[in-house]
Amino acid sequence: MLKLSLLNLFRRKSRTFLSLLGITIGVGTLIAMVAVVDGTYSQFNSLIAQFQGLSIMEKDSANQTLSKLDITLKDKLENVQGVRTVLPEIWLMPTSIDGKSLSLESMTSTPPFIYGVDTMEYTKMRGNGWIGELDKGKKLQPSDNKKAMIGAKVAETYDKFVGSSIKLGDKTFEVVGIMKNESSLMETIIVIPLDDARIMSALPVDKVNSYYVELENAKDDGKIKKIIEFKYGNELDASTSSDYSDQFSSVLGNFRMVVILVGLLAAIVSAIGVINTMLMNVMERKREIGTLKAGGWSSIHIIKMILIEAALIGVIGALLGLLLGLSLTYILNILFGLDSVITQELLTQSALFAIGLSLFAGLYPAYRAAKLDPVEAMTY
Amino acid sequence: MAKKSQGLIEAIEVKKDYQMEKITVNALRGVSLTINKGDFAMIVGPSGSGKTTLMHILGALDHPSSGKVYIEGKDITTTDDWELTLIRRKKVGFIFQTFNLIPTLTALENVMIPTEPLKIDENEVIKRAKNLLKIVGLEERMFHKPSELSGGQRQRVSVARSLINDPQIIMADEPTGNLDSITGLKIISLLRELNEKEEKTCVMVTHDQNLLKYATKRIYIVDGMIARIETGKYTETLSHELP
Ligand SMILES: Nc1ncnc2c1ncn2[C@@H]1O[C@H](COP(=O)(O)OP(=O)(O)OP(=O)(O)O)[C@@H](O)[C@H]1O
Ligand SMILES: [Mg+2]
Repeated sequence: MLKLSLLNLFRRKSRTFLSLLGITIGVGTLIAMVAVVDGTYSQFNSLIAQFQGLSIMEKDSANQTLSKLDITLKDKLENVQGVRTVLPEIWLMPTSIDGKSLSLESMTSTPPFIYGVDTMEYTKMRGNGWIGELDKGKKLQPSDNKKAMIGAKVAETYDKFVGSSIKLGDKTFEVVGIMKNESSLMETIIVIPLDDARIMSALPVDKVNSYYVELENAKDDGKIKKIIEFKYGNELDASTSSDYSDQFSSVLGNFRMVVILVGLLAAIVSAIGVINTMLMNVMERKREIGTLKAGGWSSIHIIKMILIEAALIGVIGALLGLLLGLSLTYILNILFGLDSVITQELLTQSALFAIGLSLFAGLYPAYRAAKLDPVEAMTY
Repeated sequence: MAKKSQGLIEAIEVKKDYQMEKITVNALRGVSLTINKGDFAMIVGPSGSGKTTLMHILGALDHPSSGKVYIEGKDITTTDDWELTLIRRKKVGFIFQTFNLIPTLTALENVMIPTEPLKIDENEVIKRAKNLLKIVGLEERMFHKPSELSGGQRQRVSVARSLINDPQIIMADEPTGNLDSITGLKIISLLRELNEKEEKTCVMVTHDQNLLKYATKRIYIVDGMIARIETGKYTETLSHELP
C-alpha cells in the first residue's frame, strides 16, 4: 500500500512538487525563525545568569548610556545592608577602532562597546558582573590606565592578543586580558578603567552612567532592590536579573508568537495546496478507484490509500523542510553572526505538525474518493 | 414471487431508473433472468439498451431501483455497501472494456492489486498471480508496465486480475471492444477456457454479433427489456476457428 501510494504521488511530479514546496518552505522558515528567536533568548539568559546583583540606573532612563548618576551615590549604596561591592560604570560606543569606523559591523551584529569600570572596585568583586570570565591574560588592576580587557569577538575581529595594542578613537590601549566566549551579547565588550572612559564620554568628574551592585547574598536581590528604591527611589531605578529576563522574555515571547502565527498562516496556505493536489489526483483517478472498488476494495481501503498519500507528502515535505530550516539557520548564523538554537523539540514538533497537517488536508479528498460510486466512476 | 432461487444468479423484475434533471431514464424496465453455474452468457443489444447497467446489477456493483437479485440464493438488493463489497471480493471478478490498469504498476502488481489491502500472505498472492499470468499466457511479461504491453496483453492482465480472488463469476463489459477482431477472439477463447477448465461462470456484454456463437446463453435486450433468451449448448470447437 505504501509503495502504491508513493507511486501514485509521483505520477504527477510537478503538482506533487508544488505542494511539497509549500510545506518545505513553511517548515523551513518556521524552524529558522524560531531558532533565531530561541538563540537570542538563550544568549540573553546565559548573560543574565552571570549577573547576580542589581543594576542601578537613573530613574526612567531607557538604557545605561542615557543614564547619569552622581558619584556620591556610591557611598550611599555601600551603606545599604547586604551590599557587598558597588561598581561605578560608564558605557559608550567607540568612535573608531584602530582607525576604522564601525558603521558596517554595527549593522550586522552586536557592535563593540566600551565598558568603563572602577578598577579598584572591580578587583574587590567576588563575581564577574557583566564582564564574564577571563580566558587569557589578567584582570585590570587598580593602578592600571590605558589598559583593556576585550571580548573574544573583538580579539578575533581585530586580531588582538594579550600584549597587543588597540586604538579606541584617538587613544591607544594595551590589551591585558581576553574574555571567554560565553555570550554573544558580551563578546564585543571592551573593558577599560573608569577614568579613561570618562574622558572619552565627556561625562563630568562627578558623574557616572550607572552602578553594578554586588550583594552578600544573591538571593536577597528582591529585598535589597526594595530597600534601595525605598531610600533613593526618586533618583534611581534598581533592576534584578529577573527584572531583566522578565522584560526580555515578554518582548521575545510576543515576537515568538508572531513568528509562529506567520508560520501557521504559511501552513494553512500549504494545506490548501495539499488539498488541491489530492483532490485533483482523486478526480483524475476516478476510473482506477472505481476499478479497485469493483475488485473488492472497501471505502476504508480507499480512504487509507489516499491518507497515506497525504501523509507521505507531509513526511517528505517535513524532511525537506528540516533540511531547509537547518541550512537557513546555518546561513543566517554565518551571515549575521547569530547564535541560533535549534532544539530537538523544535524539529520534532514542526515535523509532526507538517505531517499532521497533510493528513488533515487529505481527509476531504479521501472522503470524496471513498464516496465515488464505482458505476459512475466507470462511465467517465 | 419470493421463490427460492435455483440459479447462481437470479434476477426478478429488475428495474433501474436514472433520475436526470427533468426526465427519468428507465434504463431497465423489468428484467428477469437466471444465470446458472457454468454458463457462458452474453448480453447483447443496441447501444443504450441497458446492457452495462444490467451487468453491474448482476455483479453486485450497483443496486436496482426495484426487483430482486439473488447470488447463490442470497438477496443482494437489501444488503448494504459493505456486504456488496464482500460479495464482489469473494464471488465476482470484473473485466472492463478500457482495461483500467494502474499505469505505474507492473503486470504482476496489477494482478495482485485487489488483494493489496487484505491480510493475505504476500508470497501466496505472488504465487497465485504468477500462475494466473501463466494461464493468460503472459508469464514472460509480468514485470512490464501496462504502457509496454499491447491492448490484447493489457486485457489479459485484467482477466488475470479479475481472477486473483478466485471468484466463481466473471463479469466482462465489452472486453473486446477496444481490441481488433483477432485479438478479441483470443480473449474470448481465453474466457471460454476459464469457463470450461476452471468452471468459471461468465457473463459478458457485447455489441459484436459474431461473438454470439461462443455463448451457451444469449440474452437479447432492447430498450431496457429482454427481447428473448436463447439457451443452447455450445457444440463447435473454438480452436480451429482461431488463427
Ligand atoms: N449514471 C447514469 N446516469 C444517467 N443515465 C444513465 C447512467 N448510466 C446509464 N444511463 C442511461 O441508461 C441507459 C442504459 O445505459 P447502459 O450504459 O446500460 O447501456 P449499454 O447498453 O451498456 O450501452 P452501450 O452499448 O453504449 O455501452 C442509457 O440510456 C444511459 O444513457
Ligand atoms: Mg455499456
